[in-house]
Amino acid sequence: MPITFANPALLFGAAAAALPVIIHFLSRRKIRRVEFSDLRFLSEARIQQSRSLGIRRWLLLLLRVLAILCVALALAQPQWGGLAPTAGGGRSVLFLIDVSASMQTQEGVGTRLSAARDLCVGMIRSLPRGSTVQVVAMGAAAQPLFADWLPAGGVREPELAALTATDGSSDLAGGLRAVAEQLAVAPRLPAEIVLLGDLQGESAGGSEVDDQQLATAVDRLLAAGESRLLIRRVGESVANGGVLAVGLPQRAVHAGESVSITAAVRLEHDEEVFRLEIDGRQIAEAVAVGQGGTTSEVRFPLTVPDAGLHRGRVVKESDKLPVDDDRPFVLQVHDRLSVLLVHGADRDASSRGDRVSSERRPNLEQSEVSGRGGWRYLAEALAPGDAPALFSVRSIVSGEMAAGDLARADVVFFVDPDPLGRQLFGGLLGWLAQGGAAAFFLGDPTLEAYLAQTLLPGLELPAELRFRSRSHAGREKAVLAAPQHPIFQGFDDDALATLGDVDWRRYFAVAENDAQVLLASTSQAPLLLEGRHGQGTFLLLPFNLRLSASNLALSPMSLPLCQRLATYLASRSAGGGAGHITVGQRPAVLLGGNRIDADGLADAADLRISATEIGLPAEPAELDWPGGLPQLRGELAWSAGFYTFTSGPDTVGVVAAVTPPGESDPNLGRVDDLRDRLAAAGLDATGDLGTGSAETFVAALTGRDLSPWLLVCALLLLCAELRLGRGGRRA
Amino acid sequence: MNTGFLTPELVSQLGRLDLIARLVVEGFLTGLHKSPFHGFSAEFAEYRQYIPGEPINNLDWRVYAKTDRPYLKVFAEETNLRAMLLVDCSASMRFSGDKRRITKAGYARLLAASLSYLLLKQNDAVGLVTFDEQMLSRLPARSVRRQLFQVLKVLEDLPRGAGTRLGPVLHEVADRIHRRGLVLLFSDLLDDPDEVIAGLKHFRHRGHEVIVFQILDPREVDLDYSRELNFVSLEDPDQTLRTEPAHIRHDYCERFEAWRSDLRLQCRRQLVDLVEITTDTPLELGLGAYLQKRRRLY
Repeated sequence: MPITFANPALLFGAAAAALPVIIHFLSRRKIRRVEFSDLRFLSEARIQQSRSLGIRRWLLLLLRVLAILCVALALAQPQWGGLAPTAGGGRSVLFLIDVSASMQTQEGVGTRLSAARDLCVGMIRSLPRGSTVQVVAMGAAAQPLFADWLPAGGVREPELAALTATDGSSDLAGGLRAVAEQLAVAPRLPAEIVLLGDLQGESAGGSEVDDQQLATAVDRLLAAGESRLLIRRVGESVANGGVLAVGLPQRAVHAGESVSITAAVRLEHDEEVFRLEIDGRQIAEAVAVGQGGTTSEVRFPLTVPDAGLHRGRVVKESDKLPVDDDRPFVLQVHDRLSVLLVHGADRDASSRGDRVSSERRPNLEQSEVSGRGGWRYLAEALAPGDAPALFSVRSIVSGEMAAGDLARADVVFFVDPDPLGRQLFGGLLGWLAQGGAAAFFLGDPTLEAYLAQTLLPGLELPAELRFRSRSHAGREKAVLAAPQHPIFQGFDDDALATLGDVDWRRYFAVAENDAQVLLASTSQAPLLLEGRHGQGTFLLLPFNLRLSASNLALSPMSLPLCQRLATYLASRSAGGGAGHITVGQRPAVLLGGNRIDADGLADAADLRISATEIGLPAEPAELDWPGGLPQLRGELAWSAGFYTFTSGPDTVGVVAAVTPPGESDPNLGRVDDLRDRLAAAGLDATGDLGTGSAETFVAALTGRDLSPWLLVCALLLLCAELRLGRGGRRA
Repeated sequence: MNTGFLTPELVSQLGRLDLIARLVVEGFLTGLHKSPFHGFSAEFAEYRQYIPGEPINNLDWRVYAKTDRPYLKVFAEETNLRAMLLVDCSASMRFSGDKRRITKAGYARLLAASLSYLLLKQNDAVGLVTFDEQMLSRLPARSVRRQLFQVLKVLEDLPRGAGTRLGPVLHEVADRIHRRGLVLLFSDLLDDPDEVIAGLKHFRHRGHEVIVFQILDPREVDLDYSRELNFVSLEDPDQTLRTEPAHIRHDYCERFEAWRSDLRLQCRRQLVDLVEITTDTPLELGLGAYLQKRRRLY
């Protein structure tokens, strides 16, 4: 804590401390000569006392110097922990009030936010005359409450009523940035910044990006002017349950399918009931059993409703923090998934048009899987001709593909494509980065150079690959590297064992880098990799479906596996109109696939966003085209709930905004943790108001007067000096 | 001749006191002092039982006739006193702890002059010896009125002596005084105590009554200095000592007092009267205290 001085000019009085030293040395230099009758007894006594004499002399000098210093400092009126007052004695005080979701927690007769508001009012009232005040609400975005700094006397309780809690978390970096902006227009500096909140989100260390942002905000704050941050934690730890997350099927689902929906919950009591609601109707109930305060998981069985966007909720009985007791989600049920199958031009004329139908599949042992890389088999596997297929497959030669084809597909499969042009490949990567989903079957050895130089580096994979060609005797089996992955979920052991019986002879051995290996050969070479590119997902299978590469096409698992790959990718695709965000983000949906025609959207004049449940009227939605995909966006979401995008009478997208799980933590953040985090970012939060009242705040504002203590110290030092000196004289 | 230190007030005060020697010394003149030679003088002293074999010329026949017991009449003969004043003129006696205060030598001079006046007023013989490391001057004891002026003249022109060697000087003086009498020593006794006591023993051995006036400055006793000083020895200017008196005072006083106690003890053993006077003591009080003490004893 810094020490400030009310009368710093009097600090020059400290120079008086040099007087004893000067006198000491002068007196040593000018010692008076005195004639004495006989030095016999003097010399005998001096020998006895000479040892302690020097120490005592210096000690006396030290005591005198310290005593004078204490008096000089006392006259300067040092204040411990206070900030130097501005000219005129008034203070500039900025209240940074946490309005995150956890501030809605009910405590006593009000919420934490109302307690913070009352505290703020009390502090403003206790400010000295001439002070000015600004209040910044710190939610996901920080906003000043007043247009300009106000005189402290002019701020009344009703003015602070505009402070309402959001359903999201607070952004400390954003809050400090807003504070810096306000400091820049503060009527006088230095300023006091008083942070009022439960510190739940602020005290915990964030990601590297968050820390960087915080450091940047701190730099901006320090550059804005001299200030001091005081922290006052509001609230107490309460028993709080809630729904932390909802787990939807990790694959595209279709109507009538039986799936299960999971929910991660925190229990308030040892036993609690959670309900699943779809489109306002209760579908299922589940009881979570465990110890109060711990997290658990509940599972709801669900028969998938009709195709479309469905608004779902997992709900529990309301407790002290209601916002996390009702967690919304959007369930997207596909009518038919649009699959684009991009393949290389067939080289073998005999294979052209050789479709592999379900009837012919038993005879595959005698014939070759037709098409470049066996693409026709894949098309047949996804859309068998004799059954209502979930997939609508459109195959196209890679050389004829256009960038717009990607936007119309939910999922894209590449099977040994010919090298793509630079522009087209760039469009592919851009589409992926915006949330596209694609699978690459790459087993043609002639593509090795293209893969090494273009495709793999573009997907941020190492350019190291080697084509492996085994003899029949050297064939390898497959091993599941991630059996819990959604692609394999639902397959029983026999099915997985069947997959393990597939022989692999010709494939590219690639390095996985950051990608996840889902399936590997017995020689540890990846056979199925999942990677991320921007917001998109891709699967890499370094083989093709020709029987010379593997006998996967002959395996009973081939069809389920291919379909599962497609549904999984479809669930990862951002297109389709469904979205999940946390409060504080902008609701946005990508309208890819076959759900809407991009050209039609461009013509639509009435694109709107609304959230009627939470009182948000229909507002114009923003349309842009990142990566060539149509995207609709709204303003920042401040409340949890559903945000619906409409195009005329049609609903084209639904976004569920949820409260961050950290807000439902029943434990409050710690001041020390926040202080450490700020210190790491370069800001010393010098003041801790603890749980003190407005009086404590004033004491922290002005600091504690150290003058009386210093005078007492001076007195004690003088007493010690007298005692020591007298003792010496007595001696 | 300046006899300023013998002011009328002082003399009148001293006149009320009588110096009565503890021991009877030889003398010619009748005075206040008792003679050790009893029997044939004018003043009756006491009766004493006759011991067979003693001469009977002092037998009181009247008493014998009345009581039938032989008693001898004992007479005390009044004689004069031979007093020898020994004044220490060493450099240490020139010490004064305060400029406004008289030096030890000055005090000794006043005291010696006062006693000389008193003794001569009683027709006692007074002599004077001054010394430092050796005898500096010697004035034989006489009882004539003029002797006072001789004594005072010497005292007024006291020589500035150097060091102190009391032992040899006392031995030398003791050897030179043949007739028993009173020896009055005025000194600070700042010398080897053994040598001092040996010298005093010599006087006692020769039958002298010895009174020692130990004259000290108050600051020698309590070392009442407040700041750091560079002490220079009066007897040896090359000998210096820098110290802060306040810090060694306690130890100094203990040692100084131990030395004085030792002197006291040794003097008591040798039946030497030691009168400890500091120069801030009024002269009258110092003298008076001593003389009253002597009168109580004898």
